[in-house]
Amino acid sequence: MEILNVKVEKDTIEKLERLIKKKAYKNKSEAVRKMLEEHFEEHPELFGHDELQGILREADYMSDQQFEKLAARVFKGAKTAAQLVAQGRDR
Amino acid sequence: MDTNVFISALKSDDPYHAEAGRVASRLRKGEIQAETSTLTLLEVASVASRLYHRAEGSKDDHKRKTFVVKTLKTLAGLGIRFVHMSGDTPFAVGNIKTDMPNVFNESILLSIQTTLRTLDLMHVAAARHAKQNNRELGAFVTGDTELLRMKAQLSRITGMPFLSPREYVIDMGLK
Repeated sequence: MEILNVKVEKDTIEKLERLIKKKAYKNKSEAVRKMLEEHFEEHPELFGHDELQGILREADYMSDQQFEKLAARVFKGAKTAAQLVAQGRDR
Repeated sequence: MDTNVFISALKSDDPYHAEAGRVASRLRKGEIQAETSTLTLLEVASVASRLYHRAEGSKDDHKRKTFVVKTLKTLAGLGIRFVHMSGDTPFAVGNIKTDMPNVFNESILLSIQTTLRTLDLMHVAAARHAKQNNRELGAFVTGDTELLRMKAQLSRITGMPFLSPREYVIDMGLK
């Protein structure tokens, strides 16, 4: 693990200490670490733009021939294109 | 152009695959022009995502996302114009007084004239709007049997014939 030095308000330190006294966390380090992890997990949209850029790049690397081959496999099935779209139109 | 035409072009076992493929090829070369609702982007993304999950499972979610984006990029490569009914209009019925997106307002008016479902109404509203702004649009092309069954009524509403991809290809002489 890496060390992160963070300046916070006195009030924030006091709140953290209250949580440690209540045994919610072992220490301040664990409290901050878990809160940050929970926040990242609850807000994936914070990283959405980075992910989208990566996906756009990968989509560019896929050749048209590779895409056609994959699309033929993905879209294959008994339902027609019109029926597949109509499913999304609640029919 | 309805969403299903673009899916037909990618679906090699679709009854309209050959015709939709011809349409896509002519669009790519800029030999014909087409317009479609912005709703088509959403529907294409949704179908691609759902079917990838069904065909390949959920083992690699990243590949599914890449497939959805590549499908949209392929659609964008056809050079189609996307019809967007921008802006809001006031809507007032009884005690209901609100502003709403133009496409909703037009779709509500169409719901009084037809028995179409919500997303079909939005496509037809976009088609009527497109025709009013571009008199050169010759037809609404769809493989949807329900829309084609109502083609006489929908043609009157939009001001252009409703054709299947096969009828369109024959009509345009696309070989």
